[in-house]
Amino acid sequence: MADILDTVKILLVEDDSEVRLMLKVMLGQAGVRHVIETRSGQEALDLIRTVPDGIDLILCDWNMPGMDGPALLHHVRKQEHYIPFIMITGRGDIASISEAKEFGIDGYLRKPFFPTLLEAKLRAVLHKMAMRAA
Amino acid sequence: MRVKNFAKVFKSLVDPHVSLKLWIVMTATLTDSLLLPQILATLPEGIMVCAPVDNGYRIIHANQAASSLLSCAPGELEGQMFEACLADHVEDTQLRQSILRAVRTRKNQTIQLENHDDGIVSWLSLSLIPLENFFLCRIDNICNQKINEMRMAEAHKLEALGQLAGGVAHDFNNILSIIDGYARIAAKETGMPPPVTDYLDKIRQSVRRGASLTKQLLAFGRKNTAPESNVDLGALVSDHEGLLGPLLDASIRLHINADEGVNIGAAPDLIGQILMNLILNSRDAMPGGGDIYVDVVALRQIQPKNAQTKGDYACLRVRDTGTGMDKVTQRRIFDPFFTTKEQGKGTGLGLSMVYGLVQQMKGVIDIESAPGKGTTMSLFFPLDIANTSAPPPEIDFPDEDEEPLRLDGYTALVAEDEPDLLRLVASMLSDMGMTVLTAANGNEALARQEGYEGHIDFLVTDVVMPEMSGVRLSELFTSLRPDSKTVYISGYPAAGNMARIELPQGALLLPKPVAYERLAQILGRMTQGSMQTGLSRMAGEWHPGETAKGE
Repeated sequence: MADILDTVKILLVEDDSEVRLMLKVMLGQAGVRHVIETRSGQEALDLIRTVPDGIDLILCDWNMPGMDGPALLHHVRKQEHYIPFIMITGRGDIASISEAKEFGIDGYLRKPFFPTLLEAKLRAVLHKMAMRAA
Repeated sequence: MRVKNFAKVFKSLVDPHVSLKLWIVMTATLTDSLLLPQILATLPEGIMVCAPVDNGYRIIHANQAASSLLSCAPGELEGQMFEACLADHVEDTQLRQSILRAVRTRKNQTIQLENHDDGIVSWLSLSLIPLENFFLCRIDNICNQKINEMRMAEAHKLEALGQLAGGVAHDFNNILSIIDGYARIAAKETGMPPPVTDYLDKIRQSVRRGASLTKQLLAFGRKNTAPESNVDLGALVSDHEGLLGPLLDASIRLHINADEGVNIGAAPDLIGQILMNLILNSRDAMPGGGDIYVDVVALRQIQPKNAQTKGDYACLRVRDTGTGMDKVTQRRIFDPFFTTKEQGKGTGLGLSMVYGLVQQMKGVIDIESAPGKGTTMSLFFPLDIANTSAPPPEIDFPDEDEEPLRLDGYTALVAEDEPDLLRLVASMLSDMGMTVLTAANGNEALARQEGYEGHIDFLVTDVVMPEMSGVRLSELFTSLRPDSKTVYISGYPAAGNMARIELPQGALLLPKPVAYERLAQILGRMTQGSMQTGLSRMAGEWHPGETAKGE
């Protein structure tokens, strides 16, 4: 049986090219083979609207110029197709985490984090989704 | 034959790295072919020069090495027909075909000979090198190469067998865990008639027997050859009873009488190998059946025959009522490849291996045997006095009647792919008062914790699971919940080549079949902080309703 991370298509939304590259490497190390990179919320949203079922999970930075993470999430949740959403945040306060939870995120990662944490989070969220679909 | 030819052939004859110098010297200095025999005499390889005659090839020159490799007196080979002098060693047609092929194709041909001489097997390689109408035969002793090849093959065979045994033992352990667990659950039901509780006890006793057998199978497959670990020779020999029995048929009775607490410095698996080889040897000496007696005793202040010094020894004695051996056979019994068995029946390596291993452990062997009187092999190992007859280490399994461990308020997440075993471990933990979450694999375990708001104190995970190993799961899980502690359950050992997955240093391993007492013991110790420090919660301090810590 193929591993859950083997076939998953992840949309990575991160404006900082260095962080984006690092996340891509981490995803690769975890065994994720399909990563689509976007540099802003707007770019991501355009892509989601074109191919709504072509993405299995969104990994998105909270703070971005223009359309930020929460704004993108707001638009994504308006879509018919449910896509799990993991928010990456540099803000560690409980208030912002609860805020993110209210927006309907499936998980969050507080920067900085170890690659194992990213993998664990991805597996947890993806497995839950698979169970829900089954 | 002209010098030019000899020189040319010489170059192709021998290893260029070794003999290039010699060849240069020879071509530069040779003016007289009379020097050639003297030069050939210095070579370690046997060399024969053969010339065509009406009915085959005649040996016109053979160096000293050739004579000695073919067990002939110097000068005996010259003048003989090549095929005839090798008739004892190789089939005539095979030899003729190789010569013909060498002469026709002008290419070197190599054949290997197996030589049986008075019970000793040796191997030679013959290279036939065509040279105009003549050909040269180079003879190499390839015994060392053959010995290595056979040792490797033997080791690979044992390793494969061990892995097979280990695999079966692993699956069997899972089944035993389930049988044992349900027997325990059923035994807890009150109001059962006495015969039923007895039956359940019998089931559990049988499970324990099965578990000790699987433990031995796993030990057999594991290469625990680290020397100088202290082992109780008596206990080890007794433990092997279950493994040795199946090697013998019903006509042979095995009697083991081993004193426990006889300690020596040795690798447990090597003792197992020694014992197995001795037993097999005894078995083969008793085609009509008989008895094998295995004893282990500690002997104080003795000097065994063949030992250098007087002292305290552990003696492992294997006695059979078989055919016995005469003095000549006794002298050669430990030679590699010496065998009295028919060809193909024995490698002749068994007892030479025993000899090597005993020497490695600084031990000595004494044989007492006579034709028709059976054989006694006594192995003496230096006794480890500091540890001998010391009381066995305390295994503090809680008494079944003791107050059962309560872990109310604690939470465990159990990951196990075998559904019955998952239910069983979960029910054991529930019995201890714990809140239990279950998952059938690593990904599910991660998802379960993600959806759980409370604290999870323990991850109890199988080591070998499809998709993700328990070790990887623990890594990922503890990155999400750094305060959680992991307990591994596995039918495999924690390390060594039988370990399908190597566990991290200091990992807590609960062997299968999972025993309630052992699980309670490990968790009890962990909650009391004696096994792992820094566990954040002591029994009873946890307050339900407390929210999970963030990642």
